[in-house]
Amino acid sequence: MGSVLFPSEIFWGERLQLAREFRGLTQTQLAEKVAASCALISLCENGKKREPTRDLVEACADILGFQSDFFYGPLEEVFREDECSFRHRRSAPERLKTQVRAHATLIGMVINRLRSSFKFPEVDVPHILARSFSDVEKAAEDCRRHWKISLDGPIKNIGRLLERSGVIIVNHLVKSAKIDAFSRYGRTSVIFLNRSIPSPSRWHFDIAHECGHLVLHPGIPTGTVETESEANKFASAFLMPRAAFSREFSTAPFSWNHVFDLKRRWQTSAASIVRRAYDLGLVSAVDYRRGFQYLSAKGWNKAEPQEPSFQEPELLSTALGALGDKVELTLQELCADLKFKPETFCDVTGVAIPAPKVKPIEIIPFKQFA
Amino acid sequence: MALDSGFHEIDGVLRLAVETDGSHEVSAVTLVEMDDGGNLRQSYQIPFDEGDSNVVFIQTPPVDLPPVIAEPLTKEEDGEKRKKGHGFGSVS
Repeated sequence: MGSVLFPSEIFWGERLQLAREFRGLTQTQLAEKVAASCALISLCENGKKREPTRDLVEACADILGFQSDFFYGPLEEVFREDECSFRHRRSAPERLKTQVRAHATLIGMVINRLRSSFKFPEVDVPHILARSFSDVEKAAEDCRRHWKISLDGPIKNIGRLLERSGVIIVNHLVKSAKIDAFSRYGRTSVIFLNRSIPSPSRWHFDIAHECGHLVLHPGIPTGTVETESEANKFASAFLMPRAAFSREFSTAPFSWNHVFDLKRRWQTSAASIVRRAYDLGLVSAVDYRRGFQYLSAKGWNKAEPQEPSFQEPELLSTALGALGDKVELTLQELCADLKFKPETFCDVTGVAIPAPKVKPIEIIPFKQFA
Repeated sequence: MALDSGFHEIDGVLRLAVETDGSHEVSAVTLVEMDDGGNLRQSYQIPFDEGDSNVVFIQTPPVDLPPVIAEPLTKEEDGEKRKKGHGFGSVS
């Protein structure tokens, strides 16, 4: 009788690909680092080489920052391209997007493991079909109604609103100025923020933009001009509902003092306020153009003054913070279960694993033997 | 309601007078009260270029939500999850 392989004993090429992509390496670069051919790495990843040698697996694990066992057993939940949306510059290379998606898949693994110890809110994001900009405006209002949020005022903390609806916010995106935010809709729904751009008002808008993708574009490939402008429109309408915003914008003539008063209240950037006012016909095209010229001349298109405070994401951080305290599972055990090396766990979650406490060696004095 | 509160009804005509200067910029705005014969009774200067208004608009307070945390599973929930086999990162 032949030996039966358990799933955990089968090499899973998808896992090698995931780890390599997370590190931003090409197959050729990884092959060079482990003294193998690119073809061999490709065969391993495609599942055509089912039993790579143990030393090759160990070399890959060492280079990529995982335990060798990480590569054995199926992946539970891969974040597929068609489930993910990016808010990015046009110049963002495809490889960077792949790296972010791999990062998100690893975060998904962390969250799935945490589900064995914690109860996360169920995902409750409405899906609304919108064919025109006026549909998008209405979708944003319907979304507020769905979450029982008044249409009459600002949302103090949009991140918390999304997290209450089961969307986990991660503020630890791969450091690059070319991607602002990323989201994925699925059993594990996440929004990643790029905190290397120091602008809380922009992060609020990024969260609302990604929320727009989750509401408007589930299962629809995004990244086109149309889907991005729909998500922007949604974000704008969701953060600044037309009736309430128009009423408050019209209480004073258009001036920067007034715009910054509104910024403090609505927690969104001055640029987005001017744009919203223009879209709602509250300022003329000339004022809009002059407004943006002024913003640019002041350098406010890069960093605006009078930024609001930002409420840190809570779901993942409270769960990780409660490990070893409110639940038996510890950070070290979580890392070991996932087969990550501690530095990789930190790269994925932003949380460093404390070094294990070394028990002092009990020294037995000689005289006890005497 | 205003009449009940002691305001008197005006027996006459109220008109807004807008004065402009040579460059057609508004220089004064006056509310003029006249009788039926067109004779001036009272005039009130309206400070149209005042920066601040004493009118306070009622604003709806921002939506403020309580913190959200991941609750640790109770022993019963934990047991159920284990039975279903959900929530584990890798199959082993």
